[in-house]
Amino acid sequence: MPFQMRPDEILNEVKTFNEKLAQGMTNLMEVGEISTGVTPFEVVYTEDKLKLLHYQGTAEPTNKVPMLIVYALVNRPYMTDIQENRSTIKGLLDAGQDVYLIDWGYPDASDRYLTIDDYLNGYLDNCVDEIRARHSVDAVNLLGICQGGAFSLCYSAMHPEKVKNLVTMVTPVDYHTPDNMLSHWVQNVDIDQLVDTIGNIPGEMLNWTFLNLKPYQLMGQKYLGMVDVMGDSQTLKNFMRMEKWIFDSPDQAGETFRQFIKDFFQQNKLLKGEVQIGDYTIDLKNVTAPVLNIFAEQDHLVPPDASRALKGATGSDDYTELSFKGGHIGIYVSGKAQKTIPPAIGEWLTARS
Amino acid sequence: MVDWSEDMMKNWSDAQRRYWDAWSDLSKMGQPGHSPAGLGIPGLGAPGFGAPAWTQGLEQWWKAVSPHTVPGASTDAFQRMVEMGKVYMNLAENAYNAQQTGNADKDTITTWMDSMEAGFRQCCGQLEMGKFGAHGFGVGQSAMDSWQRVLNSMGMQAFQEMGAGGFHMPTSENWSEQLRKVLGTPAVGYNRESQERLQALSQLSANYQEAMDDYLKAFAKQGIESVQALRERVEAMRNDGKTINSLRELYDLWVDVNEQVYAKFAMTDEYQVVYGDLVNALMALKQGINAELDSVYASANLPTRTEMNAAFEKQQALRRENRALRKQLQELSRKVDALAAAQAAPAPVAPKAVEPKPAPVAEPPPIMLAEATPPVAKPAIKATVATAAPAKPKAAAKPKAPRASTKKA
Repeated sequence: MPFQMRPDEILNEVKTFNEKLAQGMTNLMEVGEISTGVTPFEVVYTEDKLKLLHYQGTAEPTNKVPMLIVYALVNRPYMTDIQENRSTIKGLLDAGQDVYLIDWGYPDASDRYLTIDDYLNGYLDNCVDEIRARHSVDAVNLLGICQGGAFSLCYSAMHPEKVKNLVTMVTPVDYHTPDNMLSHWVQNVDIDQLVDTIGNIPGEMLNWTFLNLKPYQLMGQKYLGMVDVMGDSQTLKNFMRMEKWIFDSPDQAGETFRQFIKDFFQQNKLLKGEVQIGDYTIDLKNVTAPVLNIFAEQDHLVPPDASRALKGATGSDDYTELSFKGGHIGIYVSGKAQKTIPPAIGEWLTARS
Repeated sequence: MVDWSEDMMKNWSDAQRRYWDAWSDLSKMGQPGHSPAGLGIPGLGAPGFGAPAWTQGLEQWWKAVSPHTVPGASTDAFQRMVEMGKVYMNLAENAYNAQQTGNADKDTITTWMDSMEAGFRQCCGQLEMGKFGAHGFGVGQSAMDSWQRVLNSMGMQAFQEMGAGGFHMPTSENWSEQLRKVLGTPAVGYNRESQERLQALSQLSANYQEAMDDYLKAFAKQGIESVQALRERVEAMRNDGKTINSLRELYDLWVDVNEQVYAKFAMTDEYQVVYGDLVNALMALKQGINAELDSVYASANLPTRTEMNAAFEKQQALRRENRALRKQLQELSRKVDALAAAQAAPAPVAPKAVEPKPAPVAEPPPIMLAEATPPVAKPAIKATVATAAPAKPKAAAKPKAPRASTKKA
């Protein structure tokens, strides 16, 4: 018989659950402010709501070519530096890299007409130029994350002379793989009507969409599992830190969202070489810098095949893939990732800088 | 507040200890039906003789505690956890009752699955207030909460109960037909235009409810399929001699099966349609509301959304222009600095016997190299920036020329 529980065992399980819950509540009351971002940085450039952060490592960078991290517009970039023992930024600094990161800020209603062209040929290009000037170099190393990876690919195709090496992490390239849930869902959404009606896309709408990717785990099981970790204050705090990040979703600038969903998700134009950004038609063959493409094998947001499609799509004759056994977030915050991903990036970059 | 909380927690823990000790004693004595109901502990006593009321206890405890918490991420997460805890307690109650009756295996799992399936079938038949949220093992309610947050973020709080919630209207075809007839009635009289607009808005509202109903029904259908899949999984376990040894295992099995079924369902054309229709219907309704609001604002001589958008669009255009001008200015400034530096440089030392000549103006290498680089075309500022050298780098930038195919002809 599959279900083998005596009444006293059921009682014991319920009792334990309640005890953990009560203890957890006490810990929760004492958890205090949930801080995020642990590595010191200096803001070296600002423009509108954008900030360019320069991280300070404990030692001088050994790689003289600076690295710029281009994060997605979705969610906040502090995920890469979320806590002391879970920091991709720290790992990269330890690997000898000189790390910069773009914090795009929180768009408001006045930003609804920001386009991808504004983001890439405006903000991103200005940040790249700022770093080039500060370091007296011709080109920088770009590290793009998720949507930021797609943006980095586009930027590298438009400005190949400014990109020394390109690292893409969990970056969708082919948006029409059979397992791409997000892409499947938006095919029937009238994006023009959506943006015309509400302008910026609320972060809450993105949250709702992302939660629906795995509703039973993300809206149910996760919180029941939380009871098990609440007894330990530090573990609870770490849980809450991730929880804060997950729901810290900036609104999306309307026009950028319009083009990104229509061109990338609905029509898969990036792979077809048909994305138009400002005066440029994006041809991935124009990406000539060495490329390191990192993806997660259990990624529920960006299926690995969506990232693998980059192989052979660029004009680079130096293409490397790195597969990580984990998920979309785990690739930045898991203990295993800390030990493997930043050192691998550092080694790959240093060999090419 | 912390002190108060600690006292409260201590009392709660003490009460729990007494309560669970009593339950444990009864359980060991093998006296089903003799509940330690009461014990003077609010929320922990069973409403009916012999039946545990753990879900109710948790709910009452949360009601007592939650007013003293500070709103924020922590409380949100804890609230979700309590909601899941109630679901878990409910599972425990069912399991406990079934085990006490002595027909454990069949009653605990089969009865539970029968109950879930019945709930989903009810949802498919007619969606009524709270029905959907009550099923799906708590996930249905979380999904609804999440959708309500979407509506709140758009200023549509008034519509958040529509669908499976508060002012839900009947969804029978007959009712829909009647509503459409009413909304199709020709408008007449002085307020004809206003009446027409309101009729159109009501129609959009009805469309949204229909889309929401279809969406929830699709989910309920998936719920039925999940229960069926769970039955098959349990049967397979039975055949393989595998056992479930804890409530958590049972819960995790349920989640695992649901995610598998959902993953397939979410990739169907049916889901694509109901998802798109829901968003599209909501946006059509929101668009209608926006138009009405603009009409009201205009009549009150207040700025309308349309006017604000026009201002924002102009502002963005000015930002682009400003950015282009700033880059030009920086480049000019650099050129001027370079020229000034060259002029200030000491003249070459002339041979004593020769009449000194004016010092040649040195060509500033960075400028030369910069000018040799290919122009960077920018859409909004093409005419001005195309002739400018790349901005800022102090070093001589020698970028590779972009492929001709990259640029728009």
